[in-house]
Amino acid sequence: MIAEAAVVSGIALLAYGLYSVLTSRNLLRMLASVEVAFNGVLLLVLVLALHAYSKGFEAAEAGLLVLAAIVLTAVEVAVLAAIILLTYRVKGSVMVDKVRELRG
Amino acid sequence: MSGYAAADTAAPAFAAASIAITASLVGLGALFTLTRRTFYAVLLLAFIGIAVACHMALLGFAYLAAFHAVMYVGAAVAFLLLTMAMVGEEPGPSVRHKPEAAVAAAITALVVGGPVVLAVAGTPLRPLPAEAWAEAAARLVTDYWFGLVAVLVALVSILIEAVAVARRGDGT
Repeated sequence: MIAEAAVVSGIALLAYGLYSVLTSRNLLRMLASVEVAFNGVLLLVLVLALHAYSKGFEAAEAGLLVLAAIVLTAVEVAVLAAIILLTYRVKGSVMVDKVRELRG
Repeated sequence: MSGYAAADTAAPAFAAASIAITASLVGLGALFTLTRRTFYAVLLLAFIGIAVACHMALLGFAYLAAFHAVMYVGAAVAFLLLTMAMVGEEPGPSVRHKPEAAVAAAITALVVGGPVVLAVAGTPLRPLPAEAWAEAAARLVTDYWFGLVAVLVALVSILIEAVAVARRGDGT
Protein backbone atom coordinates (compact mmCIF):
# COMPACT_ATOMS: atom_id res chain seq x y z
CA MET A 1 0.00 0.00 0.00
CA ILE A 2 2.79 2.43 0.87
CA ALA A 3 4.65 1.78 -2.38
CA GLU A 4 1.48 2.32 -4.41
CA ALA A 5 0.78 5.55 -2.52
CA ALA A 6 4.32 6.72 -3.27
CA VAL A 7 3.87 5.94 -6.97
CA VAL A 8 0.59 7.90 -7.08
CA SER A 9 2.29 10.80 -5.29
CA GLY A 10 5.24 10.68 -7.69
CA ILE A 11 3.07 10.72 -10.80
CA ALA A 12 0.86 13.50 -9.39
CA LEU A 13 3.86 15.67 -8.48
CA LEU A 14 5.41 15.07 -11.90
CA ALA A 15 2.18 16.14 -13.62
CA TYR A 16 1.77 19.22 -11.39
CA GLY A 17 5.37 20.24 -11.96
CA LEU A 18 5.22 19.84 -15.74
CA TYR A 19 1.91 21.72 -15.95
CA SER A 20 3.27 24.53 -13.83
CA VAL A 21 6.44 24.79 -15.94
CA LEU A 22 4.32 25.11 -19.06
CA THR A 23 2.02 27.78 -17.60
CA SER A 24 4.41 29.86 -15.47
CA ARG A 25 5.40 33.36 -16.54
CA ASN A 26 7.79 33.97 -13.66
CA LEU A 27 11.31 32.50 -13.82
CA LEU A 28 11.38 31.78 -10.06
CA ARG A 29 8.03 30.01 -10.23
CA MET A 30 9.29 28.04 -13.21
CA LEU A 31 12.31 26.90 -11.19
CA ALA A 32 10.06 25.92 -8.27
CA SER A 33 7.89 23.94 -10.70
CA VAL A 34 10.91 22.00 -11.93
CA GLU A 35 11.67 21.19 -8.30
CA VAL A 36 8.14 19.83 -7.78
CA ALA A 37 8.59 17.52 -10.77
CA PHE A 38 12.00 16.52 -9.39
CA ASN A 39 10.40 15.48 -6.09
CA GLY A 40 7.99 13.27 -7.97
CA VAL A 41 10.76 11.61 -9.94
CA LEU A 42 12.70 10.98 -6.70
CA LEU A 43 9.76 9.03 -5.30
CA LEU A 44 9.43 6.99 -8.50
CA VAL A 45 13.17 6.16 -8.47
CA LEU A 46 13.01 4.99 -4.84
CA VAL A 47 10.00 2.74 -5.52
CA LEU A 48 11.80 1.30 -8.55
CA ALA A 49 14.88 0.68 -6.37
CA LEU A 50 12.78 -1.27 -3.86
CA HIS A 51 11.21 -3.20 -6.73
CA ALA A 52 14.68 -4.10 -8.03
CA TYR A 53 15.77 -5.14 -4.52
CA SER A 54 12.69 -7.33 -4.16
CA LYS A 55 13.67 -9.05 -7.43
CA GLY A 56 17.12 -9.82 -6.02
CA PHE A 57 19.15 -6.96 -7.48
CA GLU A 58 21.50 -4.67 -5.58
CA ALA A 59 19.53 -1.54 -4.70
CA ALA A 60 21.46 0.41 -2.07
CA GLU A 61 23.25 2.34 -4.83
CA ALA A 62 19.89 3.75 -5.90
CA GLY A 63 19.68 5.45 -2.52
CA LEU A 64 23.13 6.92 -3.10
CA LEU A 65 21.99 8.06 -6.53
CA VAL A 66 19.05 9.88 -4.96
CA LEU A 67 21.38 11.32 -2.32
CA ALA A 68 23.65 12.71 -5.06
CA ALA A 69 20.62 14.02 -6.94
CA ILE A 70 19.43 15.95 -3.86
CA VAL A 71 22.87 17.54 -3.39
CA LEU A 72 23.18 18.40 -7.08
CA THR A 73 19.69 19.91 -7.05
CA ALA A 74 20.61 22.17 -4.14
CA VAL A 75 23.63 23.39 -6.11
CA GLU A 76 21.55 23.72 -9.29
CA VAL A 77 19.02 25.86 -7.43
CA ALA A 78 21.83 28.05 -6.11
CA VAL A 79 23.24 28.63 -9.61
CA LEU A 80 19.85 29.22 -11.23
CA ALA A 81 18.79 31.54 -8.40
CA ALA A 82 22.00 33.53 -8.98
CA ILE A 83 21.24 33.74 -12.72
CA ILE A 84 17.66 34.85 -12.00
CA LEU A 85 18.97 37.49 -9.59
CA LEU A 86 21.38 38.75 -12.26
CA THR A 87 18.57 38.78 -14.82
CA TYR A 88 16.50 40.88 -12.44
CA ARG A 89 19.35 43.34 -11.98
CA VAL A 90 19.95 43.67 -15.74
CA LYS A 91 16.38 43.50 -17.06
CA GLY A 92 14.47 44.73 -14.01
CA SER A 93 12.05 41.84 -14.19
CA VAL A 94 11.89 38.05 -13.91
CA MET A 95 8.77 37.63 -16.02
CA VAL A 96 9.47 35.55 -19.12
CA ASP A 97 7.56 38.00 -21.34
CA LYS A 98 10.01 40.76 -20.44
CA VAL A 99 13.27 38.81 -20.54
CA ARG A 100 12.87 37.07 -23.88
CA GLU A 101 15.77 38.94 -25.43
CA LEU A 102 18.75 37.57 -23.51
CA ARG A 103 21.44 38.56 -26.02
CA GLY A 104 23.94 41.13 -24.83
CA MET B 1 14.16 0.91 8.75
CA SER B 2 11.51 -1.81 8.65
CA GLY B 3 9.41 0.63 6.60
CA TYR B 4 6.46 -0.18 4.48
CA ALA B 5 6.59 -3.97 4.69
CA ALA B 6 5.64 -3.69 8.33
CA ALA B 7 2.92 -1.27 7.31
CA ASP B 8 1.38 -3.80 4.96
CA THR B 9 1.21 -6.51 7.61
CA ALA B 10 1.61 -5.43 11.23
CA ALA B 11 1.11 -1.69 11.29
CA PRO B 12 -1.85 -0.47 9.23
CA ALA B 13 -1.28 2.97 10.74
CA PHE B 14 1.70 3.31 8.39
CA ALA B 15 -0.51 2.54 5.41
CA ALA B 16 -3.06 5.10 6.60
CA ALA B 17 -0.26 7.62 7.03
CA SER B 18 0.95 7.00 3.48
CA ILE B 19 -2.57 7.59 2.13
CA ALA B 20 -2.84 10.79 4.18
CA ILE B 21 0.54 11.99 2.88
CA THR B 22 -0.51 11.19 -0.69
CA ALA B 23 -3.75 13.15 -0.24
CA SER B 24 -1.84 16.07 1.24
CA LEU B 25 0.67 15.98 -1.63
CA VAL B 26 -2.12 16.01 -4.21
CA GLY B 27 -3.72 18.96 -2.41
CA LEU B 28 -0.44 20.84 -2.02
CA GLY B 29 0.36 20.27 -5.70
CA ALA B 30 -3.04 21.60 -6.72
CA LEU B 31 -2.53 24.67 -4.53
CA PHE B 32 0.94 25.11 -6.03
CA THR B 33 -0.41 25.20 -9.57
CA LEU B 34 -3.42 27.38 -8.72
CA THR B 35 -1.86 30.06 -6.51
CA ARG B 36 -1.20 33.34 -8.29
CA ARG B 37 1.55 34.52 -5.92
CA THR B 38 5.05 33.18 -6.56
CA PHE B 39 5.95 33.54 -2.89
CA TYR B 40 3.18 31.15 -1.87
CA ALA B 41 4.23 28.73 -4.61
CA VAL B 42 7.79 28.62 -3.23
CA LEU B 43 6.44 28.24 0.30
CA LEU B 44 4.24 25.34 -0.82
CA LEU B 45 7.35 23.75 -2.37
CA ALA B 46 8.82 23.54 1.13
CA PHE B 47 5.75 21.68 2.39
CA ILE B 48 5.86 19.39 -0.64
CA GLY B 49 9.51 18.62 0.15
CA ILE B 50 8.62 17.72 3.74
CA ALA B 51 5.76 15.46 2.60
CA VAL B 52 8.07 13.72 0.12
CA ALA B 53 10.56 13.18 2.96
CA CYS B 54 7.76 11.52 4.97
CA HIS B 55 7.07 9.23 2.01
CA MET B 56 10.77 8.34 1.86
CA ALA B 57 10.76 7.45 5.55
CA LEU B 58 7.72 5.23 5.13
CA LEU B 59 9.37 3.50 2.16
CA GLY B 60 12.27 2.58 4.44
CA PHE B 61 14.79 5.24 3.36
CA ALA B 62 14.92 6.93 6.77
CA TYR B 63 18.40 8.43 6.38
CA LEU B 64 17.52 9.72 2.94
CA ALA B 65 14.33 11.26 4.33
CA ALA B 66 16.27 13.14 7.01
CA PHE B 67 18.81 14.29 4.43
CA HIS B 68 16.03 15.41 2.09
CA ALA B 69 14.31 17.41 4.81
CA VAL B 70 17.52 19.08 5.94
CA MET B 71 19.37 19.54 2.65
CA TYR B 72 16.53 20.08 0.21
CA VAL B 73 13.99 21.97 2.28
CA GLY B 74 16.62 23.63 4.42
CA ALA B 75 18.94 24.72 1.63
CA ALA B 76 17.36 24.60 -1.83
CA VAL B 77 13.97 26.01 -0.85
CA ALA B 78 15.68 28.55 1.42
CA PHE B 79 17.73 29.70 -1.62
CA LEU B 80 14.51 30.18 -3.55
CA LEU B 81 12.79 32.05 -0.72
CA LEU B 82 15.79 34.35 -0.28
CA THR B 83 15.86 35.07 -4.02
CA MET B 84 12.12 35.71 -3.88
CA ALA B 85 12.67 38.17 -1.03
CA MET B 86 15.37 39.99 -3.04
CA VAL B 87 13.47 40.09 -6.33
CA GLY B 88 10.03 40.77 -4.89
CA GLU B 89 6.61 39.97 -6.26
CA GLU B 90 6.05 41.11 -9.85
CA PRO B 91 2.75 42.83 -10.66
CA GLY B 92 0.24 40.72 -12.54
CA PRO B 93 -0.45 36.98 -12.41
CA SER B 94 2.61 34.74 -12.56
CA VAL B 95 0.69 31.88 -14.16
CA ARG B 96 -1.40 31.57 -17.31
CA HIS B 97 -3.56 28.44 -17.24
CA LYS B 98 -3.94 26.52 -20.49
CA PRO B 99 -5.98 23.33 -20.98
CA GLU B 100 -3.55 21.97 -23.55
CA ALA B 101 -0.73 22.29 -21.01
CA ALA B 102 -2.73 20.17 -18.55
CA VAL B 103 -3.25 17.48 -21.19
CA ALA B 104 0.43 17.50 -22.16
CA ALA B 105 1.56 17.31 -18.52
CA ALA B 106 -0.86 14.48 -17.70
CA ILE B 107 0.18 12.44 -20.75
CA THR B 108 3.89 12.95 -20.03
CA ALA B 109 3.48 12.00 -16.36
CA LEU B 110 1.55 8.87 -17.28
CA VAL B 111 4.13 7.88 -19.91
CA VAL B 112 6.93 8.27 -17.33
CA GLY B 113 5.06 6.81 -14.35
CA GLY B 114 3.10 4.12 -16.20
CA PRO B 115 6.02 1.68 -16.47
CA VAL B 116 6.67 2.12 -12.74
CA VAL B 117 3.04 1.27 -11.99
CA LEU B 118 3.22 -1.79 -14.22
CA ALA B 119 6.48 -2.90 -12.61
CA VAL B 120 5.31 -2.45 -9.03
CA ALA B 121 1.76 -3.79 -9.44
CA GLY B 122 1.36 -7.22 -7.93
CA THR B 123 4.91 -7.46 -6.63
CA PRO B 124 5.33 -7.61 -2.84
CA LEU B 125 8.20 -5.24 -2.10
CA ARG B 126 10.85 -6.02 0.53
CA PRO B 127 12.35 -3.20 2.62
CA LEU B 128 16.01 -2.39 2.21
CA PRO B 129 17.96 -3.52 5.32
CA ALA B 130 20.08 -0.98 7.15
CA GLU B 131 23.21 -3.06 6.46
CA ALA B 132 22.83 -2.51 2.71
CA TRP B 133 22.94 1.24 3.29
CA ALA B 134 26.01 0.95 5.50
CA GLU B 135 27.82 -1.19 2.91
CA ALA B 136 26.99 1.21 0.08
CA ALA B 137 28.15 4.19 2.15
CA ALA B 138 31.37 2.37 2.99
CA ARG B 139 31.98 1.63 -0.71
CA LEU B 140 31.52 5.33 -1.41
CA VAL B 141 34.61 6.24 0.60
CA THR B 142 36.69 3.16 -0.22
CA ASP B 143 35.99 2.08 -3.82
CA TYR B 144 34.63 5.33 -5.26
CA TRP B 145 36.71 7.87 -3.34
CA PHE B 146 38.07 9.57 -6.47
CA GLY B 147 34.59 10.18 -7.83
CA LEU B 148 33.51 11.51 -4.45
CA VAL B 149 36.42 13.99 -4.34
CA ALA B 150 35.77 15.05 -7.95
CA VAL B 151 32.09 15.68 -7.20
CA LEU B 152 32.93 17.69 -4.07
CA VAL B 153 35.42 19.85 -6.00
CA ALA B 154 32.87 20.35 -8.77
CA LEU B 155 30.17 21.32 -6.28
CA VAL B 156 32.41 23.88 -4.58
CA SER B 157 33.39 25.31 -7.99
CA ILE B 158 29.75 25.62 -9.03
CA LEU B 159 28.82 27.34 -5.78
CA ILE B 160 31.69 29.83 -6.24
CA GLU B 161 30.41 30.40 -9.78
CA ALA B 162 26.92 31.06 -8.40
CA VAL B 163 28.28 33.68 -6.00
CA ALA B 164 30.30 35.27 -8.83
CA VAL B 165 27.25 35.40 -11.10
CA ALA B 166 25.07 36.91 -8.39
CA ARG B 167 27.66 39.59 -7.59
CA ARG B 168 27.99 40.69 -11.20
CA GLY B 169 25.51 43.53 -11.54
CA ASP B 170 26.44 45.29 -14.78
CA GLY B 171 25.39 42.44 -17.06
CA THR B 172 28.71 42.29 -18.93
